[in-house]
Amino acid sequence: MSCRISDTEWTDYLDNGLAPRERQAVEAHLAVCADCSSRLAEFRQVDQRLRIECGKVLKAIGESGAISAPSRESILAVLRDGAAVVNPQQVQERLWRVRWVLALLCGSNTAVGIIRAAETHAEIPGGAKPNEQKWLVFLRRLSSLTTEICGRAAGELIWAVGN
Amino acid sequence: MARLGLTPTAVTVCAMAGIALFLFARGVSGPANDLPGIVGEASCVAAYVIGLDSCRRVAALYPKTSPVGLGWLALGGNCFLSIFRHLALNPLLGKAIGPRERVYFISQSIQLLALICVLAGTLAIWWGVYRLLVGFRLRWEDFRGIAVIAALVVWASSSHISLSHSGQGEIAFLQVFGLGLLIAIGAVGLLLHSLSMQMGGGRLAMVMQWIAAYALTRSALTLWQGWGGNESLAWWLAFYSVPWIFALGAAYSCWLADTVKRGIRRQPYGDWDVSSLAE
Repeated sequence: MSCRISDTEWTDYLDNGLAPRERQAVEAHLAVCADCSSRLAEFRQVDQRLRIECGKVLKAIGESGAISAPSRESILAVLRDGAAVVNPQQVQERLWRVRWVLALLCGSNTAVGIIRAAETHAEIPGGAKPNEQKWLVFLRRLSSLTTEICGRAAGELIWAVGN
Repeated sequence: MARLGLTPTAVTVCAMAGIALFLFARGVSGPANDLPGIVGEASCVAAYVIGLDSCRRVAALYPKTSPVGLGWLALGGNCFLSIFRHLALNPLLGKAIGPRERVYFISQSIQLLALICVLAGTLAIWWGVYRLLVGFRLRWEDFRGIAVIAALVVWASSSHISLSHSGQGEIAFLQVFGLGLLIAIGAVGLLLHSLSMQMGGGRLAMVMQWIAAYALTRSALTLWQGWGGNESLAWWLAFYSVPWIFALGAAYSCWLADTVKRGIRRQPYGDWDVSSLAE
């Protein structure tokens, strides 16, 4: 199975809406593709955030009979920014954690090299830190590079630590 | 959660036990007796079985097309072939194979294939990391080291290798071809060592240093053999220790994966103390 998994298929996969054979094919592909595993984690995160925000909206409708402007804005923010919800301070904190884990796994110089390569991939200018919008692109690349060097489990750990 | 293979401590204990048994057997029966050979070769088989299991587990951790994963598979191939080589070299089984020349021929043929696997494996691991362009460089010291290895091997092969002067043409050919391979393996071993030094610490660097040590020691051992060193106890000690160097490297790689998996289990997205990895 190639990486051409459509957004509908991802949604169906998350909602357990795929036929068993299709589900098995997606899972077999996920087992060998670090990029798609990262993408699935991202979809899962968006899905969870939407469920939380929709829950708030339903609660607000139940209480006041109308959708409040902040609730509407928060849902729009999820749809607009995807899973990127971290603020600059969180980005710094997560970057520090990711760097530490990388240094312990593959050395401090390798950590710097991998982070630079991921920053280049996410088109983050030299010296600047990844902002919340580019964080996921940066993290996905970081996870993928770590998978190549230290194996799939290490890539997953980087993804988990950075999220 | 099931542990991935034997721990480095367990492998170290097995290595010490294997080598101690060999020394004991040699002390009890003397070098001319078959017993030290039987014990030593059995210990090598055990080391390669452990190495094979670890390689298989480590390779499964990488994506199927990853050069590093393929490299570990190739190193697993080396273990697989080396098991048969050490079985053939075991005096107990060697007698069943036939005359000494036939045993040597089989041993050298298997070693040739095993060395090809070692070369492919170490090269793939080095390339798998180097190609990502995350700051690793080829340095002048590496090229100087490679030139020294090549000069040493060529010098030794031209004047000192004993078996290549024997009447067995096939053995001589295999040995000369094997020497070419040894230069290449030594060179890639040096590159791996250089890569591990450039990493700036970390657990992966430790794994790479063990694999580099294995590649370099195996090359050095053959050179030493060329100088007639295989008559000495030190040579035999080194010969029976080399498989354990590899088994330790592979066990460290499993240990790295184990640590990572433990890290993921403890990771509740934000509340996890990363310093636990440094335990």
